[in-house]
Amino acid sequence: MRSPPRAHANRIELPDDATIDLLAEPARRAIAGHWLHRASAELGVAVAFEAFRPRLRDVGAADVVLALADKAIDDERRHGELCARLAARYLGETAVTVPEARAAALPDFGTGDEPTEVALLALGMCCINESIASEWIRSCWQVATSPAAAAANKAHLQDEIDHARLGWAHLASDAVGPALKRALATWAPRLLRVNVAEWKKRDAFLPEAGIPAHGHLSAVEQEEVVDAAVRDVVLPGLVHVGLVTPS
Amino acid sequence: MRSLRRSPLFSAVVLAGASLTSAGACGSTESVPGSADAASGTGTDATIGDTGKPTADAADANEPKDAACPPDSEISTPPCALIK
Repeated sequence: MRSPPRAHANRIELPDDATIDLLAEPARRAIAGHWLHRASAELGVAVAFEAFRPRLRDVGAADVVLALADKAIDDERRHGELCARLAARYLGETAVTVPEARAAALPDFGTGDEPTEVALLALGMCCINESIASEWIRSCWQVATSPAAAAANKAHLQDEIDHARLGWAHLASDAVGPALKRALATWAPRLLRVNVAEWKKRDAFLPEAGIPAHGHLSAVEQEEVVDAAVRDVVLPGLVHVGLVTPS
Repeated sequence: MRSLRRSPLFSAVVLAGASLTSAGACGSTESVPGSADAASGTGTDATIGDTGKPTADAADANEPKDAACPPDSEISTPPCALIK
């Protein structure tokens, strides 16, 4: 057993970044649009974790899992605020209004069994989506040369890793026994398929070639990153926690 | 791909996460770095280890056959929409 990661500082400071001023106006507006949209999404994920946390508690999730859920709620709220500050930077303004949280109701898988529903949420939200998010953000951070974009992506990455760990910790815990793992295994292919499809949708704000210096991958790179996350992280993870047998 | 290295996240995410609630005895013989800095690329690369690398086919073998399952559009969990 290990201790959960510590919470991060409340505010992520962004460095000065002259490269933003060098961008053409359309590129700055495109990036600002991306960050504003993402602010709403991050805040929506905070709401989702708020709804998820008591359900984890009620099915007997480990204390460390609950601690990670608490951290995820705080992290996602902070990410929303950071995304809005980034948007302001690219718009050349001192601040912008933080958008409303996007609606993010938790899905009902219709199993009629709460431990199964909660484990499916951990699998979908954390093991699959947050693992893909971690790989995606890691890749964005690696290509970014803009100081502010690099700092933001690195800060996000450090937190998203913990959100993914929440799911793997729950599936590896005593709260998820062999019978439940067998049930989860039947759902894994569908959860992977539907969530990967979401991740491969084009960004509505950014050009197809991306803006790599500012941490935005091209559409082709984005697909490659999602595939790599599934191949190198999620599928080996499902083997590790006993949901999938290696081929 | 622009010089993106192979992901070190398997160790940092999966092994480190699973080790929080178990002895890590799920078949892997790997060590657990558990550092976000390692995952961000400043640490050592991860390897898949002795469990072997599964394929999508391995997961598909478990595909549910129950036609009563809710449609795909209803099982997409919120954080998948993190970016979109």
